[in-house]
Amino acid sequence: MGVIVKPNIFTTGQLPSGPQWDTNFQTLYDCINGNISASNLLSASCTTSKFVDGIITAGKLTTDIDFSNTQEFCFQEASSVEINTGHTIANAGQSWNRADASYVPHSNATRGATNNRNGYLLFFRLIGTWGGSDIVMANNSAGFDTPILTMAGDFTTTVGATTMSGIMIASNVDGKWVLLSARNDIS
Amino acid sequence: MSLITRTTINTGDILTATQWNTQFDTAYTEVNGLLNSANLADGAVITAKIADANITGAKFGAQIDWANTQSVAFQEATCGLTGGTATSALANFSGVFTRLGNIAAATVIAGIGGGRNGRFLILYNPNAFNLTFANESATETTATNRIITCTGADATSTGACSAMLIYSNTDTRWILLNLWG
Repeated sequence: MGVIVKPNIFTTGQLPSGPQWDTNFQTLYDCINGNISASNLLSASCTTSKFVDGIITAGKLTTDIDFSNTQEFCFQEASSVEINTGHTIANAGQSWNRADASYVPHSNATRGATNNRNGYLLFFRLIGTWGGSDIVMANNSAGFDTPILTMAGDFTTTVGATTMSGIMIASNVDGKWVLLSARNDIS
Repeated sequence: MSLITRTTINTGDILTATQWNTQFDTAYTEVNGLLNSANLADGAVITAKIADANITGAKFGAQIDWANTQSVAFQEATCGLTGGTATSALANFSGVFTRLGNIAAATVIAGIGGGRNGRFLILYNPNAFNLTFANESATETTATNRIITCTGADATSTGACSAMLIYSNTDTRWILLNLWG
């Protein structure tokens, strides 16, 4: 509706008619009741509390998102990730996943990962006792719906390693995870 | 203007035309561009009310802390680079995550277009052909498209690979963060 104009301006001595009153009020009410647009709002009027949580979707973002050099960008740590009995990294529902300190892996061989939606960026840190053996991330393991492409052969940590950390991203074209980086620690 | 008030009319009052006009004008003026945060109920802004492509980096807070139940995805784009030439400037790609699916021979990337302050780029070469990132290559005629590999030498994969780069506005170069594979 945008900017509205008062239909009736009263002059001295005039006795407004009922319809004139109604029209003036109705114009105002019509604007307020669902027709408020950008031209009705003061600049910067939509502050944080006015936004419903979760409403900023990708489509609402500009093509280029340039964060300034004073802005920080953090992925809060989750601790639910594990290698399940199917040798798959599972429970990774967020971007930064760390197995918790009490984590005991079902296997020291990782062959795939769940939740591989298009472009999902996954930072992971797997921690375990591993039974003193090395940790293997199998390359493009057959029989798994969402295998990991290590870009080489199987990625194997040093014997006795207690952690494997890295980054992977999900390719929608291949339907597989692409390993971007990985390393291990003996600590 | 924020919140507005009106003149209270009591039983028996006779208002002048000016008073009536003022009452209306106050409300109309408020609605015509002066509504602000105080006029909006909390949660008043829902998805459909935000115009597409209007949220810029500046609209985010100083600290962007994604909760540990949230994830971020950069949807995969493709690039038509076919490679096979001695050097190639990577262009015509978009977004953050780009798949170099058409490379048909060993390829040297001498430069990358589209650099701007802090742009982050993930490249994925699914092919069996080596991919080289040339260090400060003079073959790339646009100096600001050149790459710093951080070793002083070219960086070459063995077949398929993934790589991450970020653009330095200070050096006006792409910085190779990682080459995997």
